[in-house]
Parts: sequence; structure tokens; C-alpha cells
Amino acid sequence: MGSNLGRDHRTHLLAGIMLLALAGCQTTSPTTGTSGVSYGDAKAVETVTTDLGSTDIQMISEKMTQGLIQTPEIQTLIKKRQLLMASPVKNKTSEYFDTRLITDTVLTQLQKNGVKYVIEGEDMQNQTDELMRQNQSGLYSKSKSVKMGKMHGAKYRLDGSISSIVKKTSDLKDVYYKMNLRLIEIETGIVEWSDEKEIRKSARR
Amino acid sequence: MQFFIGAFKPLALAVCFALTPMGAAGANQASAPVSHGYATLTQDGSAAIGISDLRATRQDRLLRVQAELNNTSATNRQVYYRFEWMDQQGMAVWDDEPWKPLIVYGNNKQTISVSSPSFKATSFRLVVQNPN
Repeated sequence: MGSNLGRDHRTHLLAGIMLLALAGCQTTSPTTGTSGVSYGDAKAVETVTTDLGSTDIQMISEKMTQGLIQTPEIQTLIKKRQLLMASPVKNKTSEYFDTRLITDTVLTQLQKNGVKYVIEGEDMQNQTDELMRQNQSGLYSKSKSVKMGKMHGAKYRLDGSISSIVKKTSDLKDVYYKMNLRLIEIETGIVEWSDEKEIRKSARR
Repeated sequence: MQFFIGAFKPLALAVCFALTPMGAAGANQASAPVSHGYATLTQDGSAAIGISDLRATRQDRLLRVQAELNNTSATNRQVYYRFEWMDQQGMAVWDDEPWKPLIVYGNNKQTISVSSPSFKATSFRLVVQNPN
């Protein structure tokens, strides 16, 4: 009897140890994969190379938005529900990057403050394709499709450029970026507002 | 160590306070209240960087903030800063801003001057990191 009790205790102890060992194998981290990939802070200062990077794009967009939102033209545009558009920003640097990263961010941040904007460029093709499909393909009910000739034109447009000067020595690379953005009244061509953002990046080689 | 500079008072209109770092006495210390917002400064043991002036005013429905960083050491310091924008209830009204690098030259002052990115912002927090 006593030896049976002792055996039971030993069995329970063994089962307990096995349960603890199994629990130790479990992980509470909701991740999968072992490739060493990790997520970082998208707002961190990026200093990987002197090329235009995420921090530069974010700083330029932020400064331009803060400048634009203060202008009387933009405040009137919000009140009167007039429209804004962004022409493609010219990339005059020696690097390739999509300048829409900047204008899209500026437009998105302005829209959060009540600015309405219209599409252009690449997005316009999708827009006209859809208008054509609904009106000319014969596939849609006339009463349930949108009408042609109702699109709204913008009163103001954003335009600008980004340029760079690169200097190199045997042990140093220095890059100076300058982004210029302008707010232009489309009807008159008058530049109502403009601002610049300068960035200098240096790297020892 | 971390200095808390100012306290949150969203109803006042404009301020100008000379703010002095409070030394290495520990974290979460508060100093004189500053209207519309406050600043926090995290830095290394040298305590070379201080926020010597902080002003805020509301104009055209936007909050305008000017902060002056003071470098008491002889060497240049690279600091990082960003603002957080809140409404009257203290709720964030804007996404996280990117951290921005700023050089404060040795024995010199550097001014940060910004406008809130949103009409909804009524208060701010300036966060400065001096990790040198």
C-alpha cells in the first residue's frame, strides 16, 4: 500500500515535470520565421547611406505641409471647398526615386486638414478608363452609371523640383539636397507660395 | 536621465519661459508650467544640452511653437527631436512625426520653430533626445 502511494506520487511528479518542460517550449511571441528579419521604427532617423532616404522624404513633406497649411490661399481653399492638384515634382538629382513619395504625403496630410484634391498623371488614366467603361462599353445600366463631363478642375496646383550637389574626396562624400515647392494659381499662373527645404548629408568612406 | 520641462496648460494663449535643466537629480522632474505644452529632454550624463526657451502661441487656428536648445559644451552635439500634437482632451491628433536630426554647435544655441500640422492641435509635447 505504502509503495503504491509512493509510486503514485512519483508518477504525478514526473507528469508535472513533463508539463513544465512542455510549457517551457511554448513561446508567447506572435512571430514566425527564423530568417533574422525584424521590424524597425518607420520614423527613426535613417543614416544607412547619403542617398535620399525615408527621413529626408519625411522631413521635406512635413516642412512643406506645415508651410502650406499656414497660407491664406490654402485656408480659403478649405473654406470654399476649392480643389488642389499636384503636378509631378521634377527629380534633378543624380539618383532615382519616385518624387510622388513627397507630393502624395503632402496631399494626404493636407487632406487630413480638409483640403480637397483632384487626381492627375498616372491616376488620371485609371479614372478615364473607368468613365469610359461605364459610359461606352455598353455593359452598364445608364441609370446606375456615372456621367461623363462632370469632373472638377483644380484652382491651384503644386509644382516643384528637387536638386542635389554631390562632392567627393578620397575619404569623404558630401551631398546637398534642395527641394523647392510652389503653389500656383492655375488660371493666372501666379505663384502664391513657395518654400524650400535644404538637407546636407556627409559620409566618411 | 530625463527632464520634464513645463506642464500641460492648454487654455492659456502665449508664453515665454526661461527653462533651466535641473541637473542629474533623476527622472521625471517638473519645472515651471508652460502654456499649450511642454518639452522633455533625454540625454547622456554630460547634460550638455538644455532647453533654454520655449514659447507657444495660437494663431490662425494653428499652434506655433519655438524652442531654443542650448549647448553648454565646447563640442558640437547631434540631437534628435519631434513633436507630438494633442487636442484639449490630450488625445493625439496627428500621426507620429519622424525624428529629426539637429546639430547644436558647441557653446551655441539653436532654435526650433514649427507650426502644428493640424488645426485640431491645441497642445504639444516636444521630445528631444541627446544620445551622444
